[in-house]
Amino acid sequence: MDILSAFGDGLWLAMQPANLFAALIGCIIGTLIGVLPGVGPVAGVAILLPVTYSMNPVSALIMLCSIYYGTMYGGTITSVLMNVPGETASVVTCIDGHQMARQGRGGAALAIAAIGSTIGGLVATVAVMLVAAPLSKLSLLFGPPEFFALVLVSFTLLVGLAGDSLLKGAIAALFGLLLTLPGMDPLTGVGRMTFDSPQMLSGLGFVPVLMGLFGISEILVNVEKGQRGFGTVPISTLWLTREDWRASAMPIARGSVLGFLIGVIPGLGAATSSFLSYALEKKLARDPSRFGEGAIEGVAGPETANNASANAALLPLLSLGIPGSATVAVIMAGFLIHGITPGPFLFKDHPDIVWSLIASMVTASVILLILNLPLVGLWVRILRLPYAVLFAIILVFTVIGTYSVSGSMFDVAVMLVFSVIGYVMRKFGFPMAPIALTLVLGPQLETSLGQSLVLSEGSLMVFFRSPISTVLMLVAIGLVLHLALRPVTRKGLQMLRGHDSEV
Amino acid sequence: MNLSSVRLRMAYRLFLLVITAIALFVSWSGWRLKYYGPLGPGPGFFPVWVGILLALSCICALFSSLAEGLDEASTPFFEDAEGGRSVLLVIVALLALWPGLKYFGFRLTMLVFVWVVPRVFGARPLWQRAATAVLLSFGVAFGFERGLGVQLPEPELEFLQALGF
Repeated sequence: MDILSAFGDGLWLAMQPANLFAALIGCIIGTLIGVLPGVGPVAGVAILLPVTYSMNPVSALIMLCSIYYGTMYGGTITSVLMNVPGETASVVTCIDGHQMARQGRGGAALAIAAIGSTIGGLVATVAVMLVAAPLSKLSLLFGPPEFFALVLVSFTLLVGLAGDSLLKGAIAALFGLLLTLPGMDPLTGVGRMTFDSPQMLSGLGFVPVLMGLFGISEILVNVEKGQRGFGTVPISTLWLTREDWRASAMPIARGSVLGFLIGVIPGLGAATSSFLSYALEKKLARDPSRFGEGAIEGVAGPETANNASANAALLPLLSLGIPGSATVAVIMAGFLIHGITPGPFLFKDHPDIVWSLIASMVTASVILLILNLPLVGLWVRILRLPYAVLFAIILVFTVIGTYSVSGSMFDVAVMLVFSVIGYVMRKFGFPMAPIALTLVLGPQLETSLGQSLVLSEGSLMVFFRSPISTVLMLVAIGLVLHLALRPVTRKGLQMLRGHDSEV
Repeated sequence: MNLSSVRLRMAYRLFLLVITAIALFVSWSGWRLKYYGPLGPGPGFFPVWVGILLALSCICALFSSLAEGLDEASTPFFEDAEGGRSVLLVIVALLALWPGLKYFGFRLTMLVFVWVVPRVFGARPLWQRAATAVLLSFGVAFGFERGLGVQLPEPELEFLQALGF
C-alpha cells in the first residue's frame, strides 16, 4: 500500500500543469530528435540538458526523461518510412517495418509500434515501481567498498558489451576517467592538473564534454557522409486489422518482459533488447520465412522491448545511482546539475521527485501514444527540412547550452575541442557509451576507492570484508577473466581486434 | 594535400600514440603530486593508476593494429574526398567559432557561421540562407536574452559593444 500511495502522490505531482507541460514538450522534442537520423538519444538529451537549468528539478527531470522516451519512438518513424533508423534501438525495425511500408502498410507498422511502445513502457513502469523502493532500501547497506565494487561491475559490463573490441571499450572507459582528473581531488580538495588555469580548478565540465563528444561529433560524421535530405514512403491508414492484433499480442507481451529484464542490466540497453526480441519472435514464429518480408511481429516485439528497456534503465539509476546506459548517464548529469544525487537516499530524501518521475513514465507513455499517431504526417514533413538548416539549428543550440551553464567561453572551447576528439574516436570505432558512464561516475568511483582505502588503512581486502562487496567483486573479477580469456578462441581474437573495423 | 592518401590505420596508430603520451604524462603528473599519505590515498593516487592502465591499453591496441599488417591495405580515413573536405571545412569553422564568439559576440559570429557553413551541404536559395542566418543569430539571441533571460556571449571589441552587438 505504501508503494501505491507514494505512486499516487507522484502521479498527482506529475499531473500538475507545469509537469504535464514539461512531459509534453519533452515528448515532442524527443520524438523530433528520434526522427532526425544522425542525432541519437544521447546527443539529444545532452544538447537539451541546458534548457532545463532554469526549471524546477521535478519538471526538469520529467522533461529530460520524456525526451529520452520520445527519442525511442521517434526513431521508429524513420525506420518504417525511410529505412533509416533514427537511433540504434530502431535498426531492427527497419527490417520488417520498412517492408510493411513498401507494401502500403506503413500506417499499421507505426500504429503497432506506438501501441507496443506504450504497453511496454507501462509494464516496465509497474515493474520499476514495485522493485525500485525495495532495491534502494537494500542499497542503503552499501558503504564505500560496496559502491566501488558495484561501479566496477557496471564498468566491466559496459566495456565488455560496448562494441566489438574489448580494447577499444577499455580505452574509451579509461579515457572518460582521465577527463575527470583535472580539477580538485575529491578526497583532499587539492588542485591537480590545472595548468595554473583558474577555470581548470573546477575541472572539465561534463556538459561541454558530453555535448562535444556526443552532440556535434555525431553531426560531423553525418557531414562526412554527405547527408543532404531524406526521402520517405507515403503513409497508409493507421487502422489495424483483427489479424494484426492477433499476431501482435504475444510479441508485445514477450517484448515487455524481455525489455524490462534487459533494461535493468547496466550496459545492455535498448538496442540489445530490440535485437533479442526480434530473434525470439523469429524463433517462435510458425513461419519464420515471413520475417524480413513485412511481418508485423517483427515490429511489435522489438518496439515494445526497446521502450520497456528504456524505462527499466532508470531503475539502477534511481535505486543504486548507477546509470545503465549512456543516455541515462546524461540524465544523471541532469540530476547532479539540479543538486540531486541519484541512489539509495533518493527515495528517502526526495520522494516527491522520484515518485513523480516514475509516474511521469505513465504520463509520457500516454502522451506519446496520443501525440504520435495523429502527428506522423508532421514528423515526416519536418524531415523535408534541409539537413543544412537542421545542422545549423543544432549547433546554435549547443553553443547556447554550453555557454549558459556557467557563462564561460572556456566551456565553449572545451565543447568545440571535444567535438573534434569525438569525431575522430567515432571514426576509429571507439564505443562512446563507456566514456559517458565513466565521465559521470568517475569522481564517485575515485571517492569510494579512496574512502575504502582510508577505512582499511590501505588494505585491498576491504573489498572482500562484507558479503555484498565480496559478491560484487567476484562478479567483476569473473567478468574481467571471462573477457580476458575470450581472445583464446578464434572468435575472441576477432573481437579483440574489432572485426567490424579495419583499424 | 591528397585526402585519400590519409589512411585510417595510420591515423589510428597516431591517435593511440598521442593518447599513450597523454596517459603517461597524467601518470607522471600524479606521481609528482602526493601519491599516498598517512591518511590514505593522495591526489596523485588515482591519476597514476588511470594513466598507467590507459597507456597499457593503448600500447596493446597499438600492437594489435601493427599485427594487422601493412598500412597500404587499410581504407582511407575519409570515405570520399568530397566528404573529407566538407568535414575539414566544418571542423575549421567550429574551431574558428571560439575566437569569433569571444571577440565578435554571438550575433555576428552566428550570422556568419550559419551563412557560410550550410554551403557545405550544397547550394541553397539565397533567401533561405539569409533567413536562416538572421533567425538563428539575431532571432535566437533576442528570444533567449529577452524571453528566457539567458545571457549570450558578448563581443570583447568595444566598438561592437557600442553598436549593440
